[in-house]
Amino acid sequence: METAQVVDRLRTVLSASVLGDRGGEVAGDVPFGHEGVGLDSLALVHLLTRIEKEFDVELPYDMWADASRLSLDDCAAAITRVRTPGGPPG
Amino acid sequence: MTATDAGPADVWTMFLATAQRSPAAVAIESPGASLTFEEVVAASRRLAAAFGDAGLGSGSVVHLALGNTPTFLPAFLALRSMGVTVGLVSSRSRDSELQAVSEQMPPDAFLVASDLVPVVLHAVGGTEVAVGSLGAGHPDLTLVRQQPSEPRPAGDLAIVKFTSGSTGRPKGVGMTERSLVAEAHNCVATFGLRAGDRVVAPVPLSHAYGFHLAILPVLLAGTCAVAHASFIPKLVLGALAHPATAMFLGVPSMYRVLLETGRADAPDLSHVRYMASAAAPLPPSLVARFHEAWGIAVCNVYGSSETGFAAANVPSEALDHPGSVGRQAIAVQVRAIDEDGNTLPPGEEGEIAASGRGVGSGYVSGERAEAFIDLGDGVTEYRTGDIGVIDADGYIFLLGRRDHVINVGGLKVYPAEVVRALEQVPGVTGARAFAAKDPQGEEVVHAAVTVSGPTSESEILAFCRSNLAEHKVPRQVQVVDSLESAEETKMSKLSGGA
Repeated sequence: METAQVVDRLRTVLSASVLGDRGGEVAGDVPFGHEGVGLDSLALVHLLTRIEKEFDVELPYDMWADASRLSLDDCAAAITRVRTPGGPPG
Repeated sequence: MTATDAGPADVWTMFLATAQRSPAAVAIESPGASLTFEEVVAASRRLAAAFGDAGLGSGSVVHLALGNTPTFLPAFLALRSMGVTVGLVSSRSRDSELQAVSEQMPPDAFLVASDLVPVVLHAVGGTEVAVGSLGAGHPDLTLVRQQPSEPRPAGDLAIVKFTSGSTGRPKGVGMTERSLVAEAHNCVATFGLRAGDRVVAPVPLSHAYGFHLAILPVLLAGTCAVAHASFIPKLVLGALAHPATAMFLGVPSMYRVLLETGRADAPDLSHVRYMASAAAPLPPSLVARFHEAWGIAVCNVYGSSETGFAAANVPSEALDHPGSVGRQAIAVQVRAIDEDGNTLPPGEEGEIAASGRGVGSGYVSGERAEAFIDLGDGVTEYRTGDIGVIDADGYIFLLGRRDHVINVGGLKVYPAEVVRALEQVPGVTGARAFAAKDPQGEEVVHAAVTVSGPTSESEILAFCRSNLAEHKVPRQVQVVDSLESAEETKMSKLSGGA
């Protein structure tokens, strides 16, 4: 799957899980936390939980711990990485 | 056992006695770092020496803004062993919160992990004094020295908890040493916590929920605080899987997330005696769904920065009393009262009041002093502002906040916002905003203020009109001698107009 497609699907997850309609407007490089989208820590956990389910991946712990600085692009890159055969383990 | 039994009267002595019983046991841990009881004793002494070198001592005030790290415990104990009043401040605080806690309780220093230093300097300025780290995996500590100019509240406070609630502006609640010791007994006895029990806390240790239920039992009973800086479901489930885990301090959203992640890879949690929930309303439907999926009855815990731990459900009863926040804690008396403070019969709606030795002594700012009633012998009653009912079996049900939201034609008005505007009017010394009914029976904003000089009601209203959105401007402002009487007016208006 192309990275752009992954970002679009992620945006859908962002809308469906925590943001509602506003999710569609979030640019790929905007951080999820207070400096960007404005999600609090529990909303972030909700979002990452949904992302793991939707893409059937396990995101590495450092992503969970630093979730407020992640963006849609970061998530897409991580998903592509863990799914690429021979890529570094999650 | 009661808190007045002979025993250590201060938390440091209490902790030393506890540490002696099991020096090698872990007292506090976070993913990647832990400290045993003897290590906490040694670290506390080391830190106390460093704080002393920095000029701190008995009567100083230090705002501890460390976040969930094992270092929190020795830092707190070091300060208490020196007689320093400790402000418990969230490490997530930014400019407005840091400035507000400084105004409420001007500190001699902030004690923070080094990454927070720029934030503190930006908010309130100061001079850095490096303290160092307890070792690999532990944060580098820095004191940011302040020069408090104003006189401060009396020096017999052990801690000051900063609460914001829905109002956004922190208020400091003071607790004396004696009150802290009593509250430790209350938490330990009510939940039957024992040495070696692990309490998993992905909630801030700087807030009442985490501090009272994760930290105080360590000092008295020798439990282990398992402090996570954030709620990462897999990490937290891993911590809960430890067979000595006795209690989990959660909030409703965490249970929603666990429901969503599902049980498939989850460990067996049948050894966890209390899966607790606090800080937000716990819907009965969530309790039921969680029980269905996980086989665990989530227990509501009721309390606040002001009351400390006041009430809880136990697992065997939580499902049978949906919507209840539980029954009063062992060393707390919870009652529903009328406007005059009389106890209401079971089933009658009134304001919830909680009394005990662990209840805070008041706001350091002196605000709302009328809500804290000294009942003598170290017992304080706090009138919570929560409206509720207590049934014949003692189960407490909350119905709402007395001052929560005023609904003006479908638009929400937070009284605190109106009060903040009123307090900026020159000459106004205190203010309260509340719901009242207009002649058509519509809810509107009314306000009561105390003034220091000749300030007219029309001047106050004019100020409000230029500073507040239209629907938030009080329909009526009354100048009163004391806000306590305004409080009563408000209650009678609310009950009379319903």
